[in-house]
Amino acid sequence: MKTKTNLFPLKPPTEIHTNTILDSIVEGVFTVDENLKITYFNHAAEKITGVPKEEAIGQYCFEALRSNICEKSCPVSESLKTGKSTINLQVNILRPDGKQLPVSINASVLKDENGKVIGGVETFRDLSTIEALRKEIKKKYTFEDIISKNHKVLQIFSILPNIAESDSTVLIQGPSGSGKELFARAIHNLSFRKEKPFVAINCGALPDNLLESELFGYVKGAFTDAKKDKPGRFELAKGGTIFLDEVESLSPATQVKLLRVLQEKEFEPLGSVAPIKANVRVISATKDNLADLIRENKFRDDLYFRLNIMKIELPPLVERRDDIPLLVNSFIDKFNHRMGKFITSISNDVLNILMKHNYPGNVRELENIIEHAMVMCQNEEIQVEHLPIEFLSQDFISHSPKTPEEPLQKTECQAILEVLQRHDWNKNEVAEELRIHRSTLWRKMKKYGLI
Amino acid sequence: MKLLAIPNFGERISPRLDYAESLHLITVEENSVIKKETIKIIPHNLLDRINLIIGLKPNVVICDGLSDLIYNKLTENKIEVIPWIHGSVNEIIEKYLNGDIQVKATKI
Repeated sequence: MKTKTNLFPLKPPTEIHTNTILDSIVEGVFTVDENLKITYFNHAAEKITGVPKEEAIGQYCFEALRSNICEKSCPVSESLKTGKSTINLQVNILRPDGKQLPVSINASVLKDENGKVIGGVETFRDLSTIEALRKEIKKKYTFEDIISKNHKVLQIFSILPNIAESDSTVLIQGPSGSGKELFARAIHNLSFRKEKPFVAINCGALPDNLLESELFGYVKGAFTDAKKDKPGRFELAKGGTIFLDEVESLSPATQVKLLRVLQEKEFEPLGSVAPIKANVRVISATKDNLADLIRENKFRDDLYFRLNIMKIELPPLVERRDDIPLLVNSFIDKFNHRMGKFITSISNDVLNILMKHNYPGNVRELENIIEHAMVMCQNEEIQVEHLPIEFLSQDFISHSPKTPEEPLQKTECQAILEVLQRHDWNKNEVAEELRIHRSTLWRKMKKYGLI
Repeated sequence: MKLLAIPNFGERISPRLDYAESLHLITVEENSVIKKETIKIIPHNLLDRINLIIGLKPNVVICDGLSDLIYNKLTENKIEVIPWIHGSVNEIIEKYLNGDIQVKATKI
């Protein structure tokens, strides 16, 4: 016997069904009447806004949501006026517990079965997890072993992979302690030579005759004490990268030999007549401006042009002060690991002092200060008394922030300092929170001695 | 005599002091309003907004939501802040004069 097929197995949803469905979704949903008073508020809306349904029903939607655009351009009001919908508008709402949440909202009009407008509906999605992830990614200001969020350094980060890929010579110019070798290593690690050796030599650390044999090696009998062949750094770096630090210290004679390596791609060890092929990438570094040395006839221009195919200029730490909190945290982690300590932070006073210091020794000096402080610190937070005495006498007294005398200026200065500290001195984020232009922030920071 | 500052959105208290576009300034004496004026605060960024409110020298700010920054700066400048209040401005003033406004417990 044939059974009758039910062509309409699903009944139209009742109001209870609709509420159950709306309460089970993760998006907040509420409806309002034409006066913007809430008529429906689902479970997710309660959860996201922190406002209980019983309290929300009958309330004005702007008092339940407290979004940053409620007064200026309410999307529900706009929909009621124009009939147009709003899709994926990103705003922030303020919960009764004081927490701000980023949300994405959609809004449109609600019509009855006759097409008459009876109010509006808004759905919204909590973006805080996505926002947190975005911030996490943004916080990854690490490139190989280099940490920075400074825009100049980030620009260098962005071109490093291309430089690494090119296999051209690279000249890194930057003051002492600015991390030239770290950049050289990063280039090596990103290049196809990464599996081969990275050999570093400081050209200023050895007398000229020793440097030559160090660079190119020698053969047995080349001089009195040459009992056996000794490979030079160029040979040790075979297939890899040689990093010539303080290249400005090279004597004219060694400059000529280095030029030959770069031109002919070969070199001769001391006492040898058989040239050796130099399959090596040369990265050199200088703290001086080589162009100036050329004008003073202290450096060969032809060598300079060979070394300077790609140039990276590293800023001194005073020009990337926004990196100081990031670097401090990184050094604390590093020394905690090395010293077996559990130091978690530095006091605000210490941070203020570190932010004001001029760092003639650049990042290396900051690292040394943190190492000293961590040796002295016996609790969880580095305090002013843990800093080196000479450092204190210079900075604590002479570089403390200017204290504005006018009460309003004092409040403004403190407000800026508070937000700067909260955002790890990230000026973009601070300007965004204070809703002022970056240049205005910079001007105010300068005015209050915060730069 | 006391000066109350109440950010408003039409006849209601503004939902957020940080984004309010208008501010009622109400002078009260012996439980009655003796002067009421309204100023626009649209173009002010957060720092200017804080400075503006402090510069008006109110004794009390009655508002709904606000950031920790504004709250801290106002209270540091000896301004009493009564936050998380919503409703009609006139009703709230009346409640304030009758001593019926309670400061809600908040994170701040």
